[in-house]
Amino acid sequence: MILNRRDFLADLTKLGTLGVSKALFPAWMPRLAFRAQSQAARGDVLVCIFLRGGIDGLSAIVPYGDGAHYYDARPTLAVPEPGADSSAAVDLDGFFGLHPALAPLHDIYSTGKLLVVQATGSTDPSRSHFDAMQFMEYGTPGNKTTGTGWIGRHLQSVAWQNNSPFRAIGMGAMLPNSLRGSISPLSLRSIADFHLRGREDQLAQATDMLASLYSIEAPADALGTQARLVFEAVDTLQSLGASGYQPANGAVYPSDDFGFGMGLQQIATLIKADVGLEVACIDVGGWDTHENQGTLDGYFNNLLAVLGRGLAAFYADMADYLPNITVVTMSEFGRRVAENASLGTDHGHGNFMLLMGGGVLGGRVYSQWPTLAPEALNDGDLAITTDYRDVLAEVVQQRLLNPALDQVFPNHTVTPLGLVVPRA
Amino acid sequence: MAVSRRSFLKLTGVTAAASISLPQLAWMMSVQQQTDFFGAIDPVLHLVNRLTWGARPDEVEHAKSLGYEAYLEEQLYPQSIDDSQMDARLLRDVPILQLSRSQTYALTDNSYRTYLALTEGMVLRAVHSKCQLLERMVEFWTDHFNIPSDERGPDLVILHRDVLRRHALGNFRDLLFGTAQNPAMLYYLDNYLNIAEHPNENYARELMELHTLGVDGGYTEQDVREVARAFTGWTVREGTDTGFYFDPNVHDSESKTVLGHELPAGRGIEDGLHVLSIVANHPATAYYLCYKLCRRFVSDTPPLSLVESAAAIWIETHGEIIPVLRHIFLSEDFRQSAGQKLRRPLDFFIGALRASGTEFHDFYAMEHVLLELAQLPYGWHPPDGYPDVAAAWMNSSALLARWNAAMVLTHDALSNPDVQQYVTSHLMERIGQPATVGELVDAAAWQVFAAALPAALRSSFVAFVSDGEGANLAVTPHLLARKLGTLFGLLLASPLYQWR
Repeated sequence: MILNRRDFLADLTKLGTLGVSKALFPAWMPRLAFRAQSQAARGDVLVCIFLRGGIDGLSAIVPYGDGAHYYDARPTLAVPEPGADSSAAVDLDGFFGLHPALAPLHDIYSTGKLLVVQATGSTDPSRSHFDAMQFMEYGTPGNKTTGTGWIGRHLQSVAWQNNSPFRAIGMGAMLPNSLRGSISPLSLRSIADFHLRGREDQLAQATDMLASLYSIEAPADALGTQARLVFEAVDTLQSLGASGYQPANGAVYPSDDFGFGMGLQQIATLIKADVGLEVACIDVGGWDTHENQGTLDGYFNNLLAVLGRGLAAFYADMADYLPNITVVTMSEFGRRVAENASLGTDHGHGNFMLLMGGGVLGGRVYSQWPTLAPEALNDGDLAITTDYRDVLAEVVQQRLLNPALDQVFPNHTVTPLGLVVPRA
Repeated sequence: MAVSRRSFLKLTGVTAAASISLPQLAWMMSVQQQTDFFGAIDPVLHLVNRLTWGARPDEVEHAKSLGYEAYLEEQLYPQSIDDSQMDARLLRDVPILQLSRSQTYALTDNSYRTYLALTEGMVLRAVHSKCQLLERMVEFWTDHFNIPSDERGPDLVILHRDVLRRHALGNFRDLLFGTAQNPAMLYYLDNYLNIAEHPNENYARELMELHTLGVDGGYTEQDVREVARAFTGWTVREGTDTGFYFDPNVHDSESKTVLGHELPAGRGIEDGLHVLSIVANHPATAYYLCYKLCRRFVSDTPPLSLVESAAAIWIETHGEIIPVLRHIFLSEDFRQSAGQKLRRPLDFFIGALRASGTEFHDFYAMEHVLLELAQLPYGWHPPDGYPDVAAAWMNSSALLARWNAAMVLTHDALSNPDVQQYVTSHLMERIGQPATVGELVDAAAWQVFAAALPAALRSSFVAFVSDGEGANLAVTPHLLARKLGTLFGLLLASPLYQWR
């Protein structure tokens, strides 16, 4: 076989695609009216960022104030305390500091729109990525038969319904477990590529055939439901306009291997287009840094910079929409306090979360800091003093306007934390 | 980075084609049709659907001539199959796969070239090998002991050839010991860094969680730590034959307790070997592996009675794979399971190649389609392997990617010379000489399903191909040029084809 990447991609576009003026729906089928009611009737748009692999929260949100407990456990990986030099932490509150790669977030923190929660997480002790992610995304630590995600149950139980295909989207090729439930989320990789290809003179009929084969008018199974989503989404995305997207306020999204910057920009596009988006999930993977972590000048530093620059770009781009947006980050677990012999860190327990948005009571680090003293650790790891469900429950109740917390987080008694302003 | 909408802009001229409305489409209840189709399926076709990478008519014919059980036995013992054409082609097209470890490392650009060879070899074998069950089991073990191809390609070549392929239908113990000592695995799960002073738990944890006992297999966090200690010193050193090296200087030789077994002090490599024996022989491993095999070959939620009876055979035969597979394929649960597995994207892709005769001439063209389908071989990064259940693959992007792949794979030389240079299908050779549209639809459907279409589905395709004129319309070269590619594409894109 020959190797000829560029040309194939160019020529592939010569395959027919459906035109801007051409709806994917067969002409005789009634078009769907799903543009949502005005934003005012609903809660915030939630942007949920999952940092897969277990981000090293002790390097991202540096507990420099814990002194020797931190610095002795991390002889080569610790982030220096603020003021040391350009590789030092950027101070937040006299105890915690931001990793220098997250410095772009400091201005947002200063204006009170970014909140850091430290020593939080899922209370289940599992150090398995797969179990811990599943517990966290189901919203039911310790129970893996739940089958639905916390966001899925939120969408199902909130007071309004919204038949937009963009109501809940997962950026990427696979949907996260948090979106599982009776509402069908849309998975979307690229707005530009979300269209049907085929032989031009047959495309209209081929489209009719697919609509028929999948019974999209009255989907009878899960595949049919997905097919209908495809039809609806293609229809809308084609009407989004033909000009290239220009982020506002000079925002520049990072261009990264994980598609994070690109994904955030597409979320921004959909929010501005008012297509009924309520929840967007996006991942940044690659945090499982068992070896050669490169906290300050290597792999971790670069990956964290993608996160920081992405969040800062989104914040700038969405300035006018901020009162209606809440962004949260989470990761399945933190990493062990003591570094390992491979210049890396093993699976741990407690970690941090970020909340960003117009309704966030930010500019502070919320933490019942358990300390990194050896006797305070949970099996060698940072203890969890704030259940991540309490953080999310507050967002769900106050910002997403869903009081049905018993459905979103079953069997959990919510403790109010005062992290956000109730949405007007 | 701006979102490019160039592809939208190009499209405005495309609307000329008159959209005929398909004749009074009585909405077909697709689900009912699937139920009917799979409910009435020939048992041998069901077996071929599950045991191969796509039921080509010639394969089904061969299986029927042998009969259900004899075909199964043939596939369980692939050494009896003459696959010399395949072997010759592999030798010609991907000679790297035959090299020794040191020869592979000696290649310039060895990481990249082994990636190409592994991927191309995987597709070639799945499409063309007569040892189809062997190929499916290699796929199973590739998922089970997942290592992405960007980790030490030359060692992956050795792992796949000398461990996963050699023992795919052998004994689980050999797979386990072989993977544990392969440098790609030692690197991927960090055991090469695991030393007494600072144990690294990554391999220890995944060994029990993913490779053997399963996450509910009854081990504790303390077991993880003890197992990590047992594997201290298992590392990689160049200059040795296999790259595997046990370094006694960094091994923790104190005593350990693993899953209730005492590992006495003062030992070396025996500690790790002992742990592998403990987990290989553990009943939780038998259950977990049989559960995964039943999930792969029977249904996403296999009957527990089948899993348990398979596990009993596993335990009795000490991890022999052939008797377990025979038990599963001969079970009543298997026979009743037609249509219950969603084709994974790679199933879909390989099946489409087998049905259409499509061949890629350009690696990146193929890679592009596989990436869009989100299942590039050896492309899954976490150690748990590509998901095996429908729910993981059932989403809008994935479905659209299948439709588009179906169209790209069949929309070829007939009309589009630009695409022809990357990919050629052989649709004309597959359909014989149909005189009427009815015959044409039947011939194409036969290549895709190795069975006749349900009546309502057939009339719908007839309406499409004949532009509403009916099954008796004569087939002309002009009609074939316009319709043949899209006909095959739609058959592959249909909901019926997504299941097997």
